[in-house]
Amino acid sequence: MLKGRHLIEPGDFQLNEIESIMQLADNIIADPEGYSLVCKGKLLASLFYEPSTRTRFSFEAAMLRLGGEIIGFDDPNNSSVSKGESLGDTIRTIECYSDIAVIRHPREGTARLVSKFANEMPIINAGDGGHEHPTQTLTDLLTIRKFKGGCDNHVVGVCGDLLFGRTIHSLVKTLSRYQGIRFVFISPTELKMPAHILNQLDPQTYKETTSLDEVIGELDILYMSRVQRERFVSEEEYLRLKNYYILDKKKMKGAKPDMIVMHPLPRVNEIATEVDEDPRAVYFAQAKYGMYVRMALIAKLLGVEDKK
Amino acid sequence: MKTLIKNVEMVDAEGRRFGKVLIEDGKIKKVYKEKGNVKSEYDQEIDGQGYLLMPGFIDMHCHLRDPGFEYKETMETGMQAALKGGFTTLVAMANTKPCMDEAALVKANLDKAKNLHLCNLIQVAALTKEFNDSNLVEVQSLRPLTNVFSNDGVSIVNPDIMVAGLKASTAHDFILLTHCQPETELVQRDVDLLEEIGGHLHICHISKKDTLDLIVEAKAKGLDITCEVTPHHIFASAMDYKVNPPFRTYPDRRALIEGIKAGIIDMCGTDHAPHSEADKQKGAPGINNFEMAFAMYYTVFEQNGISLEKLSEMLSDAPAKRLGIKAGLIKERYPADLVLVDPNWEGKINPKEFVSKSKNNPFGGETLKGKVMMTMVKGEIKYDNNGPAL
Repeated sequence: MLKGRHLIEPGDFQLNEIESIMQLADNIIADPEGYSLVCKGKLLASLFYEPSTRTRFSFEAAMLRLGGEIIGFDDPNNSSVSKGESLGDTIRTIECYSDIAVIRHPREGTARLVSKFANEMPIINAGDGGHEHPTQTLTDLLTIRKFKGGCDNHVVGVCGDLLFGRTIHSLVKTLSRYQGIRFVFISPTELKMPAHILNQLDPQTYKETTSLDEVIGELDILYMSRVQRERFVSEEEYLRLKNYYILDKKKMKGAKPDMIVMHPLPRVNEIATEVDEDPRAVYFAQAKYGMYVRMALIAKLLGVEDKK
Repeated sequence: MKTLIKNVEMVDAEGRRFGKVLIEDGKIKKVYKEKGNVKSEYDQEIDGQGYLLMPGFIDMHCHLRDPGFEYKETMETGMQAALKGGFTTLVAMANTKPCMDEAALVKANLDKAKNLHLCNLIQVAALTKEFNDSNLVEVQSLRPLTNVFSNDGVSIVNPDIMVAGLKASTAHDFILLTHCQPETELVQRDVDLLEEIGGHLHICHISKKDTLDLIVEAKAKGLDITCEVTPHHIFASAMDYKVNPPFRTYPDRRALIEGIKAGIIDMCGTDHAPHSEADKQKGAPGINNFEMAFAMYYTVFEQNGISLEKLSEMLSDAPAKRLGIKAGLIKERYPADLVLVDPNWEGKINPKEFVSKSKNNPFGGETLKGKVMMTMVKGEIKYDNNGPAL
C-alpha cells in the first residue's frame, strides 16, 4: 500500500510498488478522462523553497489534471517562512488544510526531515540540493517502460558528468534493482562514477569507458548528461575531450536501430539539435511522461486510484 | 590590500560554481562567474586551480584550555592548529581554570584573541558559578561579551538550573549549549523543559540513535533546538579510547550518518580536546581534532554519498546562522574567511606532526581524504600548506 507514504528517495519504495505506479501511469495515459476527477476536493501544497519552474509546473499540472487543487509558494520570501517560522511549524500548519505536500528545498536532507514532521500528510521530495530527485527517476523509468516494454534486461549507457549528476545516481541505483541490467559508464576520468555508487553495484554488471563511440553500438538505452567546461583542467583539455561526449548524427549511426536517447533536460550542447528528429531521441516525450508519472504517484499516495 | 582568488570552484551550502573571488578590506568584495571580467586592480593573486574554495569552518565546540591548562594547549597553539584544519571561527568552551564565570575573564580571553590575530573567537561563558550545580552566573554582565553559555564538560544535573538557564536564554537572547550524560535521559529532560518553558537550546556532541529520535520530535514541535556531532563519533565505533561521550556502537554510528542525511543533525563540530600524554594516561577523556577533523568528515561524507555542499552547510553556514553572525557563505559583503582544500588528496595525518601542543589523536593510522591547503581570515592568509605564511 502506498497510501499515506512519503517519497523522499526511490529506495523508499519496493520495486513492486514502483511498478504499481508505472501500471497506474499506463492506465492514466490510456484514459486521461477517466482520472480527471479522482482528486476532486483534494489539496496539494506546493512548497518551493527555491525556484524550479519546470518541476513545479509538472506537479501542478499533474494535480490539476486529476481534478485537485493547489496552494503554495515558489518564493519563500512571500510566505511566513521569511518571518523565521521553523520548518516544523510550517509543516504542522500546512498539514491542517492540505492532503499532500510537495517540497523542494536547496538543502540536502530537508525533505527527509520534513517527512518526519508530518503526521499523516504524504510528502513528495521534488529535489533537495544535490541530493535526490525521485520523481525524475520515476519519469525515467516510465519512459524506459513505454519505449522498451519494461525495465528489465537492458544495456544502459550513461554518459557525461557521472561524478555530480544526481539524477544519474538515483536512476542507476534504482535500475540496478531490476533484472538483467548492465551499465556502461561513459565519462572523462575526472568525472567518473563515484565509489559510493559503484560499491552498491555487482562488479559483473558494469564497465567504465572514456569513449562513447566505442560502446554506442552495444547500448539499448543511452542516458546523456551535461559536461561542464569548467570541470576540465584547461580549455585545451575541454576542447580535446568535449566531442567524445557530444551526441550527434554521426555517432547515432553507430547505435542500434532501437536504442533510445534520454536526457533529463534542459540540455545545453551535449546533444546536437540535429539528433532531435531521430525517432530514437525520446527526451521530449520523457518530459511529458514526467507529468503522467506524477499523476500516478499523487493518486497512489492519496489512495484515490480508482476511476471516477 | 586587494586579493584575487582565480580559477577556482567554490563550494558552500548554496551550491557549487566556478569563478573568481575579489577580496578587499577583509571582506568578499565580489564573486565573479567564470567568464566575468575583473575590472578592479588587485595586489595579490592566488591561483586555485584544482582546489575548492570553501567558507572558513566555524567550530561550534572546542576546548582551547587557556587559561589554566596551558601545558595542554594555549590559545595561540590551539588557533594555529585550528587554522591548519581550516577553522576560522572558534566557539571555545568555558571549562578553563578559572572557568569563564565572570565578565572580566571572558573579556580577557577576547582581548587575547584580538591580539593574536589568528582565528575569530566566540568565548562561551559558564552557565553557573564555578560550574557548580546551584548558582547561575551574572548573565547581564556577561551577555554583552558573548551569546553562548554552557557548562560543557559537565552535565547540568539539577533541573532547577536547567529551568533557570532556559528562562535566561529567552530573557537575554542567548544559546544554551548542554553537555548531556547520561545522554538520552538528559536530552529527554531538556527537551521536555524546552517545550514547557521555551528557550534557545543546542545539544553538544550527540552520539546515540535514541537521542536523534528525541531531537526529531522536538523539531517537529517547532522548538528552538539544534545539535552537533563530532568527527570521531561518525568515523568510528566501539573504539578503546577515552572520550566523552564515549565511542558508541556501530548502529549508533550508522544512525548518526543517517541523521546527517536526514537533516536532523545541524552541525559538524570538533570537540577538540587537547591533553598532555601524562593526563591521557591518567584517563583524561578527549581527542585532539582540529588538524584531522575536515579530512575525517570529508572521508565519511564521501563514503556515504553525502555532498560537500552539505558538509559546508554543517561546518560553516549552520553554525553561523545559529550564532547570529554574518559568515559561512561565499557571498559578497561576507567576511573573507576562506579555505582552499584539495579534495583529491589522500593519505595519513600523523598526530606527531600536529602544531597543537598536544598530540592525543588515535586516528594517525587511517587513510583519509581531503586536505586544507590554505586558510584565510578576514582576507589575510593565516595558514599556507606550502610554507609559513605568517
